[in-house]
Amino acid sequence: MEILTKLRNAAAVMLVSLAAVLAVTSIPSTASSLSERRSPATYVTYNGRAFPAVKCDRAPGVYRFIDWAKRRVGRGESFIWLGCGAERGALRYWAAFQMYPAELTGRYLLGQLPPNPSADWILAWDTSQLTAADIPSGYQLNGRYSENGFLLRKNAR
Amino acid sequence: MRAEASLALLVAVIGCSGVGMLVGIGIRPRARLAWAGVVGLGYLVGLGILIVLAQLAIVLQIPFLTALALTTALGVIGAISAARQLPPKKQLRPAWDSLDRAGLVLLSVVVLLLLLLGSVAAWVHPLLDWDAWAIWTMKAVMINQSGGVPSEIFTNRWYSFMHPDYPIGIPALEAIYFRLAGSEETTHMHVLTWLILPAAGSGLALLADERLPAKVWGPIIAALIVVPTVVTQALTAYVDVPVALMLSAGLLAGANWLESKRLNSLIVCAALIAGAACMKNEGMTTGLLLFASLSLLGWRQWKQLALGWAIVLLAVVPWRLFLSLNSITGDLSPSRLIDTNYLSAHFGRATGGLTGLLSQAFSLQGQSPAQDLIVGAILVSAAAVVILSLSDRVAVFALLVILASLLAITSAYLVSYPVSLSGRIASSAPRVVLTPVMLLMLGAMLQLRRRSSPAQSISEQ
Repeated sequence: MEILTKLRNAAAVMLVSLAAVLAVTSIPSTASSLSERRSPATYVTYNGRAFPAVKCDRAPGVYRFIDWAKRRVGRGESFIWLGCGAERGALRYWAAFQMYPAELTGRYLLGQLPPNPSADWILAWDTSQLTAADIPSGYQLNGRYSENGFLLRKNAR
Repeated sequence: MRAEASLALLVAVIGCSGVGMLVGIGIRPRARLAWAGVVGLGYLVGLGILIVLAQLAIVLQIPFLTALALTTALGVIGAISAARQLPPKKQLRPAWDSLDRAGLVLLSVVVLLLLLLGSVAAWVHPLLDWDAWAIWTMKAVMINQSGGVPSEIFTNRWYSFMHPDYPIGIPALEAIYFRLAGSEETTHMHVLTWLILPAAGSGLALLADERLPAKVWGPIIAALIVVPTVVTQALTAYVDVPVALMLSAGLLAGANWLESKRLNSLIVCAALIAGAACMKNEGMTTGLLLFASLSLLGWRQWKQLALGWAIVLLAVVPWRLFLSLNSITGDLSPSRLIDTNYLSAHFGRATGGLTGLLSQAFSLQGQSPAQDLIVGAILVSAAAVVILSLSDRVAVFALLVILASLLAITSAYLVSYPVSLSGRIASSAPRVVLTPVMLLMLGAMLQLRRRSSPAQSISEQ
């Protein structure tokens, strides 16, 4: 019994001591990672060029993007929403609430776009590697709204 | 501007209401320092009660903002009741030794770091991670727009990815914020769930201080809330960290009740468990098993327990009835747990899931190899302390709760066929393992050196 008590006490001392070490050694890395998050990028880099982030990019939450896109749609602009994210989430949700009955002609992936897309905007979701060749003729990169979401805008005529 | 003001208002209402409820049930420390703990615990309790009432309001199809009014009313009633009571007796307060002071300073630094720097980070951190926007916030938008749960969407098989059967406490909280803000503004919203982390730091300290000196609880609680994996996850607005913290605080409050049999400890425990039960199914299962363990060990106080069960079941029964009446189902089939044919064919998923979970516990994501080694040694030490203390009733309680959390998670792995087990573990284990890890560390902490009498408590109760 005495051995078990000694063992228990040793484990207790080890637990508290190591917890203190873990806490102290974690403080710098946690402080550093929290500080990094204080400076959200307002510009994105693409092929060495800095693009101003789209309006929603300052806080690129999906619903923030929806708010932004809704205003655009309200002005008569149209969107093509690409990628699995659209199929798995937002597109079905929007359809359910009939926010975008016709404007969203999504469910295409880049490279599988209909010929000569006519939408004012193309949102390429889940496209972490976007190259110039991926951008359809007549469009230019406008910015990105998330780590892997790019927004293309139809060139002005 | 309205969104920012609404967020500040909601945080203040949750915190003040929780503090009002706590002082109303007699948790009124004399020391100023201990009030930081009351504020932290108050935020957890206030948030727990708010989401229980909001979920209930939605189930009963009454305006969900009623929950905010009721929570505020409970806080005000508590504060008025406390003002009419005599002040608590002052007890002798022996001087703290240098290790006690070091423990307190360490935890204070961590809590302030999370509160100040972390809140700013949460303020600007975008809502990008899947569960946060595709499950919780999507439901919140639906609740905000429809005023309730639109069953035509919750029963639509295309929406099964958003776990329609999960409790709606967090979506209801977000919907309350949307309604106050006047728009579905998600930019700063997850400050609400982020604040659970620093609040838990001081709240856990208040609960632990009833039994233990600061030299024990300071380092352990600080380590729990400052490791990068916990901080990173808390910023994503996933609810795994909030569930783990609510259950952890519930464990400490339950242990306090087992020793003191004071009703206020049991009410705090029940409120925290009810809050966890409204956040996620794992929180519901583990919370119910935690309270069942507490009832088993303290059954002689059945009248107090009946009140506690009433609070806990308020968070569970109406929602489960609502799901049943509206034919809303999830992607998991709990009935498989009693299907002997299924169990005999797939029991390997339980053992495989448990192995995957334990291996994850020893390699918490986002840490250096040296920190992984330290975490491994801490977990082995903590397990040894709990197992070697089983002659103590509180140790038995802690062990039952730890096993309950492992059971809840491995059961989910077991019944999730045909989803790939390895895929399921990869996507969930780094998050869900936090609950058993935190419960193990706090369960072991409860067995460490007891405070000598007279109480050397920061609360001087």
